[in-house]
Amino acid sequence: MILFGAYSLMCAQTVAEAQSQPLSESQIKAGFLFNFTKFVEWPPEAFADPGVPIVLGIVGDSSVAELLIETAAGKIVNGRAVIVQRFKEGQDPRTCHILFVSSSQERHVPQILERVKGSPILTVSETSGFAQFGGMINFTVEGNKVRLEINLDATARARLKISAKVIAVARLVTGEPQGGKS
Amino acid sequence: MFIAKLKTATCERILFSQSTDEPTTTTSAPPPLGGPRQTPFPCRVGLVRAVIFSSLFASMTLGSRAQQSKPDLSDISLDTLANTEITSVSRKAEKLSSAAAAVFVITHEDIRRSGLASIPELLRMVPGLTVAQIDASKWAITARGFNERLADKLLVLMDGRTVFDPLSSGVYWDVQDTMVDDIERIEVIRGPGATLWGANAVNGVVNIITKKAKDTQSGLVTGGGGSQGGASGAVRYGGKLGNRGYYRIFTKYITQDAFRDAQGKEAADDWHFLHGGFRTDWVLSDRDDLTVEGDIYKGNAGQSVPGLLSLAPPVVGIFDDRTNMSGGNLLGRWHRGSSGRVDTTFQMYFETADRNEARLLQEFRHTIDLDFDQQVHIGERHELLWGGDYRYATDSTAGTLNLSFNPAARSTNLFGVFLQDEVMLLPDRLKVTIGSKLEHNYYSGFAAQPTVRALWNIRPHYAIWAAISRASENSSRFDADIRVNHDAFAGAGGVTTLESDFGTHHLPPENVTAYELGQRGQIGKWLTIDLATFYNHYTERHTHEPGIPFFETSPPPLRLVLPSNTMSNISGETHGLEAFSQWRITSFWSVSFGYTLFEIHLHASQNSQDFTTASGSEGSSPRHAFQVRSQLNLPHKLEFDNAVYYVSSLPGLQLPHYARIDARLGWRATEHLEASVGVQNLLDPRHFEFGSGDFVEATQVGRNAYGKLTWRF
Repeated sequence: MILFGAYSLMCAQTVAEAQSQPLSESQIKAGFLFNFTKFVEWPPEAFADPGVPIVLGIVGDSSVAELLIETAAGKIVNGRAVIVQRFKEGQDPRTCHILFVSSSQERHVPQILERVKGSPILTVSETSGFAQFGGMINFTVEGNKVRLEINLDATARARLKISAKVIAVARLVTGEPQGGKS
Repeated sequence: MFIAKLKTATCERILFSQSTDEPTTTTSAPPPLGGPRQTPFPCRVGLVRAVIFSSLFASMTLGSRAQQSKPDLSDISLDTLANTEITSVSRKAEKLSSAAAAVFVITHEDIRRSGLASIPELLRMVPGLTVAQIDASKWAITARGFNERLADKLLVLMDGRTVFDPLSSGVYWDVQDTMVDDIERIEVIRGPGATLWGANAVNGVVNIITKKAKDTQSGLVTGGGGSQGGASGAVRYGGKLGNRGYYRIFTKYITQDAFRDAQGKEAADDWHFLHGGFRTDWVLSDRDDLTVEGDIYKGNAGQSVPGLLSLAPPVVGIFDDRTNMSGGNLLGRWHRGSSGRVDTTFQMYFETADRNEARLLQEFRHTIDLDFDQQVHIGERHELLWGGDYRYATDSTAGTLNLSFNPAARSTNLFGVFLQDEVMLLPDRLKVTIGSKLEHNYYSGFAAQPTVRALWNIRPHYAIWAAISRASENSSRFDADIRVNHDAFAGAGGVTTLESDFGTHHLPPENVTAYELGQRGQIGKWLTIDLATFYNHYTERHTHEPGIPFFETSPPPLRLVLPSNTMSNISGETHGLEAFSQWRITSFWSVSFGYTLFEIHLHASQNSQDFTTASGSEGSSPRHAFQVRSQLNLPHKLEFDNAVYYVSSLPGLQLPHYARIDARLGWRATEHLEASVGVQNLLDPRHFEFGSGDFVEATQVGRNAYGKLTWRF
């Protein structure tokens, strides 16, 4: 009784914040990836014409891929459809706008980054040190939450504008002295 | 042997690689809901590959991701995403809704917010498990009846390594420890799991799964203490090993002052335990993963023991004793998932344990365990799981006046093979699993342990399941080779007379046939329910039957021995109901309810003269138990968590019912710092949770106010 009294009291004070529903790690990552389509501005040359969809590329095995496909189905962002494309080893990923490299491809990260270097592609991964070594956004898990690390030097080099909303929830990191992967 | 049937570890991989056979460009077509989907079974999303039971889950699943709840991820704001706990509720729901068994998962979040500090204590949260603390370092834990200190029907695994002691057929909970912060989840199956897990998974399986090294890539220091004289501290650090590996190492120390005895005086059961360990995970190639992990520990614990003090003259009493324990283990697990159709796991571990209970028994044991399993998809509808395992255990013991083994040292082999087919009879609707394990044990020979399970999704998010299984319990040295001198007195003519129990070789294994029926699912968006009922029929349970008295001269003095021999004379039934419901009242408050009803009737056969064993077992598990747990998020990063547990009386141990209330206030001050304070056993200063017996005097569990600080760096 006392406890329940205490609850109702405290509930009254509690603001409903955050966590509207339980999500798995992959769901959260997929949610972030989809959100990036809304909060990243690509240079004009990234889209050949106004009808070109935003392409979310995925390299490697990940359940994030399935979730993204389901999430992106039928969605329009800034007047563009969002499509999800999986890339196999050896395929040229430069046709996409966001490239997610899953942890299963960790050791290919340097080659993949080398390949997209100079293209206006937002590179995202979940491997430690990704954003320090030339990648742009990295997912880390801290205290049971998914965190973002973002390297703004790298995004600037790719001529991407990242919304302050993304930056607000991310931790800024800088590249290694050598200036990223090369 | 009871390796991880590492199945779903790879399931996300399978899921993905199946559809990556060719690069797909998907625009807006959602995956078809009807016919056979590309995903053969629902997988946990997430990176967790750790595993183990997952096999059971996966193998029983009715694979329809389409039927899982799917939030629209495109609509969730960045802020929300950044602040959302990675919860396992969805993961849990996903799996739970697809297993044809009574399963329960304790998530990392449940663990963190419970304020409970050890693995046996954490198991209190599982509805249907009976957890009773006997003294400061000992617990009696079981599912579905027959609770005792070394309860023999619950198989416990830690990262695929069985921690069930083969000598005693029980779990020494005082050496089962790890960094609680590094436990990813604890999965519990109530009911037989023997087809996959082998003998001793008679009434349940507990699987403790630690996080992958990749998920603990930082430092953590934690420490705390309580008013009951308990304190613990731990340090963990994780990092990378080259490009392909991750590691973590940890060390932990626990100390607990003695509890109070029946008179309220300080008992002798203080406990001190030092433990260190590591885990490494390696990606060997696109298809191959390797995990290598190990532990080493050393500790000691006091206890009060009812037993013989001397033979000449015969004196029986309660004496204080100290247990010194040390040991370690090293485990390697290689897993290959190729092309999504075949999945192979090989696991091997070595374990050594030294347990010296000075006035009872010294036990020194090595175990080598090998396990292989493979999962093969055949066509659209069949998923075959097969494998084999082998275990070599060698022990040497030094007996005492109270307890000894004949022979003092023994090596045994245990091997088994299993095969299981999961057939999707109606895609996404009805799945049937048929399998059996055939196992050979040194003491009781071959035993077949079959199961048939079915799961029917009557509507999305709601399933009914049923199972019939048979499981057996391996006889152990305790049943075969033991001698217990439990009473001595001066008999006729002043001759010392000794009452002794003797083990018997080649007893038939104790068996259970279990009939289970359950349903679980989601009602609306915020309420889940899980209901399991069971009827178990046991045969060949052991009794102690009087034998022919004989004289013994060595060692002196001459004495008359009145023997009782272990026989298999009890059969019986248990039945019951286990209910669990979780209600997410608001986004910041969730409450769960659990209730267990348990009935037991044991019958000794007509020629049995053992009139105590059956009634003792009948009265050792509570008829009713319930729990209510609440997790409330408050502003300013505060958490207010409560739990109420009620356990009805244990007539076999003359213990009254008790209720326990735990409360905790946590503060996640920053990403790096977390603090909590709490009270356990709020309701009374102290009470017994279990009775004396099995060579230990129970002590009282007291009210405990505690504080804990965790710093991540």
